[in-house]
Amino acid sequence: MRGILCLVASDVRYGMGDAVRGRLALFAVASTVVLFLSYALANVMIPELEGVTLGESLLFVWRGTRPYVAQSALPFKVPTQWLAVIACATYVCADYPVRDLSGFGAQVVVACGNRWKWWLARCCWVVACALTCFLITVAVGLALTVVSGGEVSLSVRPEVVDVLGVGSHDLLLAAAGGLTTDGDYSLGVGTQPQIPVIGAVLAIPALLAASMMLEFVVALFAGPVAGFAVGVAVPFASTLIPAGWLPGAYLMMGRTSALMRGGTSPAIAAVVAGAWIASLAIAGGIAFRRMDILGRREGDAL
Amino acid sequence: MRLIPTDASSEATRAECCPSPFLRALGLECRRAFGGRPFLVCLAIGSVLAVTIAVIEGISARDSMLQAMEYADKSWVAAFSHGAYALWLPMSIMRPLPGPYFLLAPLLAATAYAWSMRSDLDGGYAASILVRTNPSCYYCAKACATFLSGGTVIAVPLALNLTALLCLVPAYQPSVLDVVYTGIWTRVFDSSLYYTHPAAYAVKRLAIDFLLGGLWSTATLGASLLFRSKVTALVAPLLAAITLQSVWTTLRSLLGTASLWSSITILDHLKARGDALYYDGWAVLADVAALLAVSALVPLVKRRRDVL
Repeated sequence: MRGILCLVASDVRYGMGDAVRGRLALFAVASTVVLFLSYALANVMIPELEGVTLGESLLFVWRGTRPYVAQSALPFKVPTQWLAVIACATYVCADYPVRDLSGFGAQVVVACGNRWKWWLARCCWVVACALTCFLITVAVGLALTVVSGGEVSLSVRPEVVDVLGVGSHDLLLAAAGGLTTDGDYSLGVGTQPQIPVIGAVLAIPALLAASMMLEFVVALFAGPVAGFAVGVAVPFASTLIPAGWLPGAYLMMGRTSALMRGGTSPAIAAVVAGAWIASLAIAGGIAFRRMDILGRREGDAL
Repeated sequence: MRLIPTDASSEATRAECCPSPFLRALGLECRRAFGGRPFLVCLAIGSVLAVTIAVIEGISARDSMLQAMEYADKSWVAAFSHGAYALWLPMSIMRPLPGPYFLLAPLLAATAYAWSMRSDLDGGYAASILVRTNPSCYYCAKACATFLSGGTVIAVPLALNLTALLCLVPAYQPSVLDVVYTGIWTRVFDSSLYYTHPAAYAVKRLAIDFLLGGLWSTATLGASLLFRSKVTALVAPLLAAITLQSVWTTLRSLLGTASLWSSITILDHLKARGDALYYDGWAVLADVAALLAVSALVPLVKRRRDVL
């Protein structure tokens, strides 16, 4: 156990430091851009909007999109803002484990005497990367909340959700207390009831970790570019396929049951995340035990 | 015994037979590009996806038509939107599958061969080549091979998609009567050609996508000189394009009406129109110019440094 902890500490120190520092910075920049653009858009749509809560700030970054209805006459719109955030998060751990295994990491595996230790340490590193990405969005969101004079709470106002184009309109209307004679929300901004989204917020790091674990396993066996493509494609598939077992559905805060009729449940999110992470860690670990790691050269992997 | 003829006439004959250094380098690079596993894997992935989408769309269109024909005497059937040209990947922008496909397509195009410069530099292959040949000749040959491989990975699956659709559903001439279902409005680039001569439009669209796919790969090849990792070299341009499109689309919502804005990235230009924005020929030209600039300027700037 101590060996694994040492490896995790080493991975966090070196892996988080030199290898992915720039990528984490890129993720922070992308999150900040998406956050401020969404905030600006919400300000244009709701002129009286002043401060935003922390929940709304996180919704700006992780909102996703409404489920696509195939028979509708509306075109499918790729949620580029959400996709940019997902792609930048996926890029964070795109190739570090593979690069490491092609170089110094192979010697570490031999020194460990047990491949499982290296494997589990890398799984922990991937989960740590996912948590770091999530915490970056929390930090950026918190900064916007403080600067805008909003409330530091994990709840959102119905009309803010609605202008972002997510959630169920009728559910949001019911939460807001009905319509005015103008057909608009009856309550003014600031006095509206707020919808708690703490479950949806907590689901994000868990499912992000699951998605990045999938990327890690694919990258190790099929190459980092394939890993990146799968790491982006699997969450993206949820924009088209309303399947509860896909991690992407829970990476879209706008689809949580609090905001959308028939939406995702945080409890199921925890189960799905646990199942993905555990199965990938076990299956990947078993496959890694039989993997030829000595024939690899740094720079070979694509 | 003289094994190598040295007289003047033999030298002249050999010079006539042997291609120029550029053509030799181009032939070598093309063999590496088109014979390499990454190119074949990317082409296979693109083709399988494109044909699968064609089969899904074809079967779905046939079922819809059969269902609609029962009510043909009472309501509009929208048959033109179920034709092969309307369902073709670049044209079926009202359907969900082209969106993900055209997100993946630039990555496939780049993965075909655009990684090779970084790989050659890292692996020492470039060092052994550059001491024998002119660096410009080597880079131009590599850029040409990358252009051809990237264009092929984009254009061939689209051609297969259209071929499969033509085998599955009728090749109805598209009609403006079904514009609500197809989304090909007047402002869509070359819409008049699409409605009057769909086959000619398909050929033109394939040529544009070949050009854009090839230039995207070449730009990625040029940009790869800026990065130390092959993966970064392939992924960073796509990340930049996604982020740029996201920012641009939001700025349009913030600052002005849709009619004044045009989509600016290859992610939209590979299709008939973008999800949220239209574009015209000038936008495609600007895209081509930007990709050409990256392809040429980065190696020119980097040439001052010793690549060996």
